[in-house]
Amino acid sequence: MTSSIEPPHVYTARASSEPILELRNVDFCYPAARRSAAEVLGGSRLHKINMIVRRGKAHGLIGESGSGKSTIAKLLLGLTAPQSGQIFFDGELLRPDRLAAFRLRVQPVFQSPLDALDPITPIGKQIIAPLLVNFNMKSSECQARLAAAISAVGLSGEILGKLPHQISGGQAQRVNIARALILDPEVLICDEPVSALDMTVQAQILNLLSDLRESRGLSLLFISHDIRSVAYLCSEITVLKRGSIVESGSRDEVLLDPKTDYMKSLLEAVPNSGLGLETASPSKPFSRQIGRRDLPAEG
Amino acid sequence: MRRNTQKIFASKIARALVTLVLMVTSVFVLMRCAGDPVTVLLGPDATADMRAAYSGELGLDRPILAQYLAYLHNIVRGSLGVSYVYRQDALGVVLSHLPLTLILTCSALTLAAVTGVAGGIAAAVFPSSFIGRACTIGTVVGLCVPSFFLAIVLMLAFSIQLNWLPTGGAEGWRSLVLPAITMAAASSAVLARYTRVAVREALDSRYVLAALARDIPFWRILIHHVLPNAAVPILTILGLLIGGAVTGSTVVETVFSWPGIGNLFVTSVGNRDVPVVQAIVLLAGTAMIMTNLAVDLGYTWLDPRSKSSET
Repeated sequence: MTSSIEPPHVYTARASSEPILELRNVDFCYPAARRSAAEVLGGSRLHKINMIVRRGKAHGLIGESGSGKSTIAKLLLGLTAPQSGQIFFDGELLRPDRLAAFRLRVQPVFQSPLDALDPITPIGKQIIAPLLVNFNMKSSECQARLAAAISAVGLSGEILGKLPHQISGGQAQRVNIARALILDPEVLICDEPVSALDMTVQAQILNLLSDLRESRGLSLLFISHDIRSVAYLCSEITVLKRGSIVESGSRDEVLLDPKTDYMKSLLEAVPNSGLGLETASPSKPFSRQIGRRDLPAEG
Repeated sequence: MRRNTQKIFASKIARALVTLVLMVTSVFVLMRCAGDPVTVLLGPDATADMRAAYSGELGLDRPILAQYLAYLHNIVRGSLGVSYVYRQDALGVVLSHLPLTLILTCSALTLAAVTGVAGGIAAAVFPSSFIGRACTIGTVVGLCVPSFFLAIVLMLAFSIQLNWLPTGGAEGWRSLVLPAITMAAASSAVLARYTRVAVREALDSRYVLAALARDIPFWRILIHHVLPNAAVPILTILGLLIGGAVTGSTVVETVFSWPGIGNLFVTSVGNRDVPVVQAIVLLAGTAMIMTNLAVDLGYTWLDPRSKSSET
């Protein structure tokens, strides 16, 4: 299949801060048979979700398990459709006939990086597959794009011939990010991308995402239940509880001046709480900041 | 790594040989415990002299350990003894029945593999559709209905009522249809069940979700990612079915009077024809072992993780 979308690197630069992804009054409910226990108890539904991800910005989505965070990711990736409400991408209503082009511009990075890779297909083939399938691109160009994507995430070419079980979790998540980047997307939907990784690797991946956002002008929807990661990476935060938005605003508003008891309880649950926003420093890497309890402001 | 692979294969072959020796020993002991073959062959009216002469001729008057060692010695030499009934080389008797059994089992397994794997994939990919539900119900029915009952139902319907196909024998392809369908039914159901589970598991994985989110067409995901990942458990079941097919045809061959090894096995057990029974068991055991080895090699081909164990 050849998509009608133009090859990467041709998107016109737009003014940052304009909405790139928007959910308007979105309602969603899983069919009863597909609900997990957590969903049955709490958040199998999404109620009147209104949320905007702005161009070039990182938007955090936080909430406890079963609150509907990953469901929002699936809706935004076009993997499921809302029962009511609308989703807009780049100012245009997302319709089934536009999904193919949309999916190439909005890419996912999932939790459990090794699970997101086919265990019996070499990594190089997995990264390059979306290019081969969706674009009539010369082999040499594909290889150049592959090398660029691998290099952008700090991996060497040796990894391309390996199978997923031969690499570490941190490398696997970098491979997933490279696989997303090879299509040169405008938005990355990161669904708990660091929750399955240890602290050191978490810091590396968060720094990588932050660097990519700055260097490529990527928009990020960063879904996590780890408030510290969200606080580090995101300038805007939406808080979800049982399928409804309970708070939304800038990072400082949500974290320093929480309006709801739910958000306050989430903040109190953070180990060594006191996120240190007042001492934010954009220049320090995440790994150093965690220990000193200070977080950078977004650039 | 190659040395490691050779070690694994050597260990598998050694285990297979031990299994084979244990199996031959068990059959030898059980057949001797089941009754005196001389009584069966000569009847209860035979005189003591006749019985003694016949025992001597068959070597049954020797101590049991001597009989056993002589039998093992013969196996090593490639001789499985002389049939008490046919008065021919036991292996020759068995091999003369083998082609018909192979025709039946190959037909049945091909039918089972095609319908079972296709049905399992359909049930996994379209679980809520008519075809998916039909496959699921068909699987349950295939697993629940015993072979002999299905054979009788098919015979009543297609041979006696409709008079389309013969009730038994091995005369042309028409005789093959009902035994092959009967034998394939249960195997197909087992394959469909395991295929459905394996494909469903692969479809629910994150790498499929990731591929869908990249707008890779579903059929391509199915062929390039889902089926290769689901192939290992399917191959395992297929290997077990192939390995068990030689003796698994016993009930079907008996009901349809198909003159294959299964039929010969039942007759030979009834006649206490120990050399023929042991030859069949040896053949079936060897078939199972060879199939298991082939399946192990198939794993290496299907799943590259088994080749590259270093992390």
